[in-house]
Amino acid sequence: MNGATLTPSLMVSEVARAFGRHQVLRSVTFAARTGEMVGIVGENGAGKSTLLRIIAGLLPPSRGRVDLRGRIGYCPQEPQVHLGLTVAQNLEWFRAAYRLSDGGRTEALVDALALRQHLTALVSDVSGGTRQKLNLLLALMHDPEILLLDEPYQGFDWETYLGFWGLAEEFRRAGRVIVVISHLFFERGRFDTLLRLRDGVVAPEAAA
Amino acid sequence: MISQSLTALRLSLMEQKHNHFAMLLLALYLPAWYGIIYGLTDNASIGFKLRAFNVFVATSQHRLGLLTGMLNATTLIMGFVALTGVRRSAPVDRRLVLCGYSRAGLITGRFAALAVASTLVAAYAVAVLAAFTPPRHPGVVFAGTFGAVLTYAAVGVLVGVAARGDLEGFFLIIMLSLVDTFLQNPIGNPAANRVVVEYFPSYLPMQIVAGGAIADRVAWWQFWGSLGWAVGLGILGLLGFWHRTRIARPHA
Repeated sequence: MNGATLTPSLMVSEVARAFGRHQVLRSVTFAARTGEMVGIVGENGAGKSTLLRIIAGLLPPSRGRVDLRGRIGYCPQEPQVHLGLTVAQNLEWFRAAYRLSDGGRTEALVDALALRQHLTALVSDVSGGTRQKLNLLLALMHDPEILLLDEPYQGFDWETYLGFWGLAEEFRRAGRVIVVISHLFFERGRFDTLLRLRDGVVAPEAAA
Repeated sequence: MISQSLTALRLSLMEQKHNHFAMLLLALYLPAWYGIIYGLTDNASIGFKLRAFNVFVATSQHRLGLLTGMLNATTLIMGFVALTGVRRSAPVDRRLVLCGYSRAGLITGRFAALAVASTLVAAYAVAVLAAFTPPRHPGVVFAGTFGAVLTYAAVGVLVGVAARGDLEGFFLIIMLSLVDTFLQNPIGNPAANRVVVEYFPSYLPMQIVAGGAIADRVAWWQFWGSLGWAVGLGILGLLGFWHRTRIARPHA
């Protein structure tokens, strides 16, 4: 566990969630410590995104609790950005939300994600990959202690994909907790802990 | 919160500016609609009842048609602008609140932007109207149009948070605006001067607009009444917006 300490920053305890009669999560329990990168895998519809939304605070659990120590950076699966504004204006919205007087890590991340040339472009006019980069940047710009990333690299080209993992490593080394929902088998080796979500519960999965 | 309200107001206005379809509707549809109405009506005289004074005023079908057409077009456009704004921004607004944006600040900014847009749309509609038929009292006509446009901005927000899909929302706005403004027009609707029309949102604005455009009589309580419609519907929309942006932050 690269640099992980024993203090859990994220504690998910017996979380359950149903939508009507459909029980998506039955009892999910796991913890993540500072500097730990956790991967969550599972089939389509297993409830991975629902679990992340509950951890982020977008959905209340039907039962159970989530304890967090630190600020969250949540990157949803589908880019949630203002299409009718430029990339820079989107950054301005979220700078105001995070109350960042100096922009936080924004400038460094704009360069790391190669977004500078798109700053003045309307989001509706840029490619899906660029929207996804913005989606990710909005989750990282306030330097959160806990990163919740729901397949954050969809639409990325290979170079940007590798750049993303470089960034994730950087955050891990800085002692951040990173929870990533992943579909890709070959990514398994990147995680300190790999959990498989199946039938509404998580179980440890052997990392590659 | 004030700083966040101002940011929300400014960026919401920028978003509306980038709503190219709405801009196109304003630039082309409004004058084209005036032109069509002008072409389809004639100079024959028709009576319109100013109910606050219990008097009939005579005017041409051209003028009356243009006045109801203006309310029809502007309410439709503003309802569409508000609806698309609410529906497009709903997930991002929720994300903003999750990231710490004050809900009150966000909502204040969003609603203030709709009020500013309503002012601009009403002013533009009256200016274009003047090219076809100069109103006697443009300020009064603007006030009536503003009341109608603001009311439909509130309708757009309400429908935006309540409708399940975009299509249902558009259909509701179109039908409501069409039925509402058609009922106020005695050219197409013989019942326009009957009491039943009083229960529709564009009744008070139409009375103000007609009073200012074709007569010299204005009952200003009607203007405040039309703002009452906007505020009432706006509060319902606000409650829906508040509900839609709720989060369940789990940490203590």
